[in-house]
Amino acid sequence: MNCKHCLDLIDSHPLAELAPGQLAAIRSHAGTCPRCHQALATARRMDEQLAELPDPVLPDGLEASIMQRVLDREGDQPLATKQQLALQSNGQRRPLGSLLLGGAMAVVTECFAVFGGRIPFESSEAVFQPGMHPLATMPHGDLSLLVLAISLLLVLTGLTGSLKTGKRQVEGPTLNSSRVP
Amino acid sequence: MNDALSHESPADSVDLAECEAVTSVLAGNADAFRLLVQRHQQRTFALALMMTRERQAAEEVTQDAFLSAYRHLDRYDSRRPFYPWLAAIAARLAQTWLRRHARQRLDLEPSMDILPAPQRQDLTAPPLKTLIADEQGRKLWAQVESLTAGERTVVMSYYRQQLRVSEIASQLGVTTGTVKTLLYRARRKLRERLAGEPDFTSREETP
Repeated sequence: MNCKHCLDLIDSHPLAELAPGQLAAIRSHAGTCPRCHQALATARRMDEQLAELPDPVLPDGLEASIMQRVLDREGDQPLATKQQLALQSNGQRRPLGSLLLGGAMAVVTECFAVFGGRIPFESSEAVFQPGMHPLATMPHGDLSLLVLAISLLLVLTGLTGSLKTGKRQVEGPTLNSSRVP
Repeated sequence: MNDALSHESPADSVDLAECEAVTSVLAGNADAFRLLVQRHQQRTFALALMMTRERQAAEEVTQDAFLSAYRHLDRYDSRRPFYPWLAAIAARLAQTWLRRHARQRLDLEPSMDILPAPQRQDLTAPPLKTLIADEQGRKLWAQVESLTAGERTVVMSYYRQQLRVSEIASQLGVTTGTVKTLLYRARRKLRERLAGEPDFTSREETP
């Protein structure tokens, strides 16, 4: 090892971070070279001193000032909290609403089908002009069947939404990514 | 080996109490944030002071860093230690402060540094070295203060903040190679400047 290599190694990392082999090589060279010997001693002392420097005195009331600002801006809650609150206020209501509406529509439709007979979907023919007929009219069918299909769709949507909401509540907020704002 | 330099610090491990505090804050308990403030205000303030070299600015940066951390706590990865994430926020705010003030003062010091130009020494602000009681420490601080902003930040983040090179790189938004280069340059400057000081050469190096 020559002096340049030795000094480069001494300056490259704090001595504690050097590999044992590197430190041994430096010591071996420094044992025969007064200049590198002095550089090693200075670097060691410098490392110790830098690690031992005291922290500056904190300003009075720093913690209180920070907490005051945090509590003052409690409205600006972390995003996860906002999401949770949004789920609690809207997300739970929406699937429940779909379930109730779908269920009610299904009940009404079935009652109508059983007690009121079946209504053919023919009213559209009276509304549209003959020229528009092929494009605008819906296929003939039972209105009750259509309403029943929509009801089932709403019930399924409500059920899926409820399951997702429940799962999110069990898992809690996810903190996977660590992005610096 | 010098144990004081080994980076097996609290910054390396995930603290259970801090994890709980984060979860509690995310659940809506803002007061749980106090634990994080109590634990990290000292180091955050030291980092900000070291970068800005003005107590008023350091206090402002520290407060803003905690507030920003609070508002964006959902972005924090709770599997990692909290402090490096907070330090990254504080370092970026301090850089912004330096840039803003550099523009205001038209004090764009020519520098090879990747960081904003260092501030002209503000004679009205108490220099950091006055905070150090012993003579040896004051000499060292004086030399640290004379480094460029980037070198100073890297040295202090490494030794005083006990952050890893990769964490410092992440904190400053640069590569690990840049951090190593800054650390090398800073160590060489400090060693050469301190070589003439008896306090730093008197100790016998035993092979």
